[in-house]
Amino acid sequence: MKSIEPMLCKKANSKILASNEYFFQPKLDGTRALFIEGKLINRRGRNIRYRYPEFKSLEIKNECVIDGEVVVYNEKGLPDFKLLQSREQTSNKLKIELLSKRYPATYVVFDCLKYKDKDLLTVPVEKRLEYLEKAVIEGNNLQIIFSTEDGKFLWDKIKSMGVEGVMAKKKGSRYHPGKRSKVCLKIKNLNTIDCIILGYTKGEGKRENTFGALRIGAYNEGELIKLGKVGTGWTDQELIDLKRKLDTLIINELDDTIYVKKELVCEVEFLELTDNLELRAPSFKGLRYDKEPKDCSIKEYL
Amino acid sequence: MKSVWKGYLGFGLVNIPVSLYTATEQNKINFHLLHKDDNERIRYNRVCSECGKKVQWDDIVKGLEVGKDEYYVLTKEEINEMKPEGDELIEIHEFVNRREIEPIYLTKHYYIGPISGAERPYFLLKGTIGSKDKVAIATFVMREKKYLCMIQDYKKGLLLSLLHYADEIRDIENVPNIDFDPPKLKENEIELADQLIEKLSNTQLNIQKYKDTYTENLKEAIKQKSKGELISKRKKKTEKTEDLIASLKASVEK
Repeated sequence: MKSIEPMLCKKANSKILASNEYFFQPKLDGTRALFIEGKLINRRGRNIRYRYPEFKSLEIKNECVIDGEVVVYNEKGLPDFKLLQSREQTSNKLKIELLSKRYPATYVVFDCLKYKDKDLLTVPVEKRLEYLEKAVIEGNNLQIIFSTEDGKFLWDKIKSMGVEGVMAKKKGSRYHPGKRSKVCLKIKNLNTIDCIILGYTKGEGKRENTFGALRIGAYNEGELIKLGKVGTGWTDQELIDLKRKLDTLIINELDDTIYVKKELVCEVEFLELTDNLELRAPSFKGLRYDKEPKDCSIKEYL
Repeated sequence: MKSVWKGYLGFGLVNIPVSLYTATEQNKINFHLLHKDDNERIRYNRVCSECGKKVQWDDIVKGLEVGKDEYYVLTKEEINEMKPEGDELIEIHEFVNRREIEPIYLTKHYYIGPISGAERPYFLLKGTIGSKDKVAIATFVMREKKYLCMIQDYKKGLLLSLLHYADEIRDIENVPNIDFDPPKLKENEIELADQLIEKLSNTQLNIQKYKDTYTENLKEAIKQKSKGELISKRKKKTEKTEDLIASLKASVEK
């Protein structure tokens, strides 16, 4: 097993929480990464282990392939995507080291795809979790995910804490690499979507040197759908950094918008998708470096 | 590694899709400037020296100073017209022997990375120039500037090195005292010099042993600081609470 793509999940609603065909795990807001041959491979196929010096001593048995999420916990003990991003944005060795102490990351693992010389893709998920227990030794920076059959209990917990959502895994199911499969469902507490940044509108007043809002979009079966604008959710510093990045990508100016090359992906939180396909009450959560623009899809929300 | 440029390497009839990756990095430490009294960031403003007003980028033009306070002004439009068109092509013009390029021409290095699915022509080019010990001389446009470069076989891939244009190289003739007549050397002088070189000679260069001690010391000092409190007015350090997974696990064990 030299390389493998992670199994993706489908969106579901909270009815599934009562089903006894599934068991449940919290959905963590982090970066998906597979542990293969000592490397941590993100969804873009890049090895990101060098960014996390604290992962030097991950206790994972040789030749095991593990699926999990890299998260950074904030002071409330919740996975914090913004803190994780601060870890993803620098390639300066000193900063990487300092950040590893200031905002240490945790690799939360939830699947085992290979145990020693045994390929586990077709093995039922419950059995794979047993292998996972054998494959890793939990430590400061390595955790095994929490699993429960009581979906309601978990849902109430994560709702009260403001966590992203719950994952439902179909009992007895196999692993489908690279596929969006219904054996793996997500029930979201907060709606988020990964969008391509198409451009920005000029800012006024305090924002006249940066921008007013981002124009965002995502694909539906190959067609780019414009999802309107997002104009809030960032810190002043993020605004400045983002503007600087956008200005290296400018294509042209049309009406009130400066359009940029479709290279940046951002995560946006929103209330609902309106009938004319715009996001209601959208709020910027951060840039995503682990996702390709072409993988931004609106399909699951339609 | 993140690519800094994407495009094609033009090699005869084929265009090989490639990405460029910066091959070297500065190891220096970048400090931010802070106001000593409250540790807040120092910000720069573009201010007109005459009226004292803050000037927006849109209201800024570029001028070349001719005499004191006398400028030839070029507008953004005029400058933009001059900028080279980026056609996303690294155009190979010729191949020369590697020795033809004097080290003084080299400036910055980029790894050329193959694109998945188009590895064959990439490695064909690599193999051919490598076996002949040739380098390709090419030009391309990156961030609105036209660059001259050479491409060579390097380790597992290809290395692109930016080259100075010939008119950027200063003439050694202009170095003071360079025209000194070669002195008549005494035999014992030559012998002594030879011995010294012999003594300091190594068969292999271990470049790792040379360190930037100033930067290393700074890094050490910063690491020491990282054990203490951070200095920031706005953020207060709070006690970490139990993380999500740990608290969920604890809640069912009760």
